[in-house]
Amino acid sequence: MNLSVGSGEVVLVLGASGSGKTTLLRSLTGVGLWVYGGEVRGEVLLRGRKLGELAVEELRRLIQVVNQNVYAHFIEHVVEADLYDTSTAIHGVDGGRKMFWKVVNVFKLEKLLKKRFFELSGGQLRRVAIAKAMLWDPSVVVLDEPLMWLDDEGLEEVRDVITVLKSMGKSVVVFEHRFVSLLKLASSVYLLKNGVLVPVDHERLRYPRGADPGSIPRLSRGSEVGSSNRYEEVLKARDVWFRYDRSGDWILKGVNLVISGRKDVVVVYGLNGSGKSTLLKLVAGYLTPMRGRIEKASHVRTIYIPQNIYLFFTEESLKKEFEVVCSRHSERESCLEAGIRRLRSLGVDEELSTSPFNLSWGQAVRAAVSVATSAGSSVVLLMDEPFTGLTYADRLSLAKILDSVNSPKILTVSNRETVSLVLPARVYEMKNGHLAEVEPEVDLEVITAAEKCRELGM
Amino acid sequence: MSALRDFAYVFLVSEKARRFGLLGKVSVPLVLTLSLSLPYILPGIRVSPVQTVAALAYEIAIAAFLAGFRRLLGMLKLVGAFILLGYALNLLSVLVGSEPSDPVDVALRTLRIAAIVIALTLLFQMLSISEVKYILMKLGLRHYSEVLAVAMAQLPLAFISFSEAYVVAKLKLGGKNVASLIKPLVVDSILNSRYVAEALYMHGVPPTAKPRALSPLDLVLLVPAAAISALHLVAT
Repeated sequence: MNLSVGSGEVVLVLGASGSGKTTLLRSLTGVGLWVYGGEVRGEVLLRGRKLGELAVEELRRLIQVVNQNVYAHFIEHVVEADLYDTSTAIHGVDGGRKMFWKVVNVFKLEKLLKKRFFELSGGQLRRVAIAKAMLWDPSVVVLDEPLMWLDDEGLEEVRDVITVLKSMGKSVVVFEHRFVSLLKLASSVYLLKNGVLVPVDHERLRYPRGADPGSIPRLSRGSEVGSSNRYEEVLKARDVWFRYDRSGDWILKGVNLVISGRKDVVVVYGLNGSGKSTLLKLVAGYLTPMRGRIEKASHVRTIYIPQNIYLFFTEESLKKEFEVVCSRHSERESCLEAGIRRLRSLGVDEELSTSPFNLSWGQAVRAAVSVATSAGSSVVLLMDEPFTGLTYADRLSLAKILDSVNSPKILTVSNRETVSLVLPARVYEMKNGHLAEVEPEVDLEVITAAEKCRELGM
Repeated sequence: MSALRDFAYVFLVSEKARRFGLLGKVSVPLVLTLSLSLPYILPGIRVSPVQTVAALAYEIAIAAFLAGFRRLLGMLKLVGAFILLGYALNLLSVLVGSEPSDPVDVALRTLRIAAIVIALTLLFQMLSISEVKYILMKLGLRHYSEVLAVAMAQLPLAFISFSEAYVVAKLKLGGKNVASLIKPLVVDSILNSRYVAEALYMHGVPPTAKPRALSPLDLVLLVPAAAISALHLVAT
């Protein structure tokens, strides 16, 4: 493949899970060669200098990467200590202090300096990690899925930071699934597919201006949303109040929610830290409300699927995952068979002896849904941000899968664009501790992008 | 889960600890731990109730100053749970044929263990990661100092992952064999370690600056600690 990035350019690289985006990134920085022992053929030139001829210190001053997992970038817990130590290590005490304050001012970090890195919101954390990379004053900055786990506010923060990098004349390469909000910033867009990088016209990915909204394919999946009253109530939250510390602020204030019907899909939208996960843990019975009640029908069982999907799996093979969940089932064998059938119908064709930890992210989500729904017909699925890390097309397909599953489910979502892809569903917004049902807006840009992703095979 | 979160904060350095020098920060927990451990190390030395209570009160005062009173209460809840458990086990040990213990003596020993544990946690709350690195380097353990620094940086995240994995395992396995959560945690740690390796490649580990060895405020820490240790000698 060939790729050229100029000063002040923002290059957006798209690609399905497993298409090789991270491998490309590792090839550009030498990580693939020197950390993973891979092989890179051809040439990578940074400001005209061959990658293989650069000492590691020189390399760090030419190119910096901000990983998907930004937590990995920090050594000191307190932001100020981490950034200051890094800056003085690079530039000496005086130069380091100057560079530290320059970066703090440019990236508006003053209010974050005294915080610990794991106390920051997703957007703040990305901003600090990018700022840390900028302490090296590199020519090229590579961002690997910078919008992963970010809510709508975090997304804006990252957009602002990319704008700053662009204005500083830095070359920015962004690998991202959630590209709609970044299209306007990108100088060029590429699609990575089958090991080849293909330029993509921006406009091809966007909702055509002046187009008739009716011409956009609707996402109707025959859901029974809205008709849930026909079914018995399986779960009910009544005036639920919750806070972690008796002297702390209320996280949930008088929350009411009713789940009924086998296909009831409830989407809880809210920014990070708004209390969505807390609500799921209350519904699961893991936390107890300070006030109010959670009522569950006696036969109902809740299963929690966490945001970090690999934490769902507790066994070393897919088969054992089903066995462990079916062990409580009255008809164990039929439970196993049904589970495996579901796994196959959801498109996971791996051997049953495969470790679930070796599945791709998208496959792992599907496998988790199969395992969870094998627990019985009266399972309520509680899924914390299940769309994280998926392309728009994969989100659409997961929404369809969830819709086909005969279990009620509560999904949390932290960005509005994903809500568009899950519709139709009952959508609630969690804000200031209150949960209110809202009329969701359909984001035509996102739906268009999802359809285009399908066409492009990502 | 709130208790777990508060417990996690036991292992985090407090910003207020910057006011003290390395001498005070290292010697106070070690002096307290050593003097409280003497009855277990040297035969013939009896547990002093006065010293135990004084040490505990002093440690709580330091921890409250460093972490704040509210967080301290959270930490104590968990430490308290272990104290009660230890106490109950000691009392119940007669059921399996152990010699019956004097309840007051058991209470005193349990409090002493709690005082030792809190003294050790003070090390975490007072020493920053770079200071730990510096100490290990001076002990000739340069390589291990860097490994330890990275591990300590990631420790709070391990607590977050543990909390998630615990909820999953409890619901999925119906409360049985919850220990299975260790598998996803190990895999998660391995995946994380790859990202950490990549980040270290891009940033390196900053060289350790020499920390401040002494501060006038060290006396505020050292004098009561020395007095409490001496109290031990007086009391025995």
